[in-house]
Amino acid sequence: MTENPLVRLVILFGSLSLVSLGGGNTILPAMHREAVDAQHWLTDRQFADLFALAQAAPGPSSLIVSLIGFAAAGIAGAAVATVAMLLPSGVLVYAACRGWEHLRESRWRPAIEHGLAPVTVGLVFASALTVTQAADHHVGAYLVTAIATVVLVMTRINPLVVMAIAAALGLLGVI
Amino acid sequence: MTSVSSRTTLTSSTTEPGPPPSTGALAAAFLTIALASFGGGLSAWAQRVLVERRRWLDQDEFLSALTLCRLLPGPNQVNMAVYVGTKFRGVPGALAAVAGLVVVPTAILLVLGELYFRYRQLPALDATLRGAVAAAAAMTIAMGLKVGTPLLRDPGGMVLALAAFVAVHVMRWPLVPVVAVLGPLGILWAWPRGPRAGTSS
Repeated sequence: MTENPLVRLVILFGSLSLVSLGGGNTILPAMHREAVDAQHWLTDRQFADLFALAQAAPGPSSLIVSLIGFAAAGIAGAAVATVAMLLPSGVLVYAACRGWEHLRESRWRPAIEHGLAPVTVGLVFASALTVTQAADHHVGAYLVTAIATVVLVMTRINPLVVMAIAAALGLLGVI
Repeated sequence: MTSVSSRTTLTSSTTEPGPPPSTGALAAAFLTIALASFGGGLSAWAQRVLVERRRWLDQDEFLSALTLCRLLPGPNQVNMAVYVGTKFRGVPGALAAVAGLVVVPTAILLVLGELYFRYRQLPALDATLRGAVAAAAAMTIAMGLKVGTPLLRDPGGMVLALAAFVAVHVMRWPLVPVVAVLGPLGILWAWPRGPRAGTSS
């Protein structure tokens, strides 16, 4: 329809924002289809590389939308894509939070919080193992993850120190 | 900033926090979480900053909010920022927390993206990130162990956690139906023991 990439970005991410249930990875195929196959903003290889970059860089990995917007229309594209992605779901979550706050005095609220907490613990372990399996490709990396876990659980060393040492090991080619 | 003891014990649901944090403090906290999370591990950093250091949420509230945030559309840490911001400061709080979480990381990402498009690859960054990612995975495992320890005294909670893990990680079932089944079971389990029970007692 329209040729203006900014408009396309608003339509793409504005509509994806509300369907990104259960974590952003569900909408990745739709982003790929539009950015690579339909609009040719990125090559297949670039999409994969930028996805890895967004995963590892500081901040939410869903900021890959900023990079797609950047590839489509520069800084303005990045800003438009990011806002289009965050605003609709943000408004919805805000409304949900307001409703949740209304339950503060209710007996339901502590029951929901205490009941969901153990479920979350299981989900955290599921994410942790998924991330580990995706990140660690050989013995050295698994060893770093294992040692770092022990250090983080057993000591009060600032995790940033652990991260920095691991990053240095990566730079030196140990991992 | 209020002074906080360096002890990292579980929070008690009986300690009522002081005055609500300012919008500036909310933005600063989420900026800290974002910047610390190179390599990943955002949820683990959020737990560390929001529960252990600032004590804005107790452990159960944080954990349940984490799952509620995953069930709603949108990136779950952005949703967590909306949740915490709204809780303390309404719309301005939500905007401040989300801005803290995304503005600086977006700028960093665009600089890295520009370098990538110019030079086709980022070899040194790639190697460094490989190390950081391995440690970030450890952050998430360590957080799981930390928040899971109270379940050792809670057999029902232990079963729920195990069921959630097996359903999502082993069976690969989608999140929403898994929580739709296990959530009500958890609520049933937590209900008779009243508001003082749970992982923070």
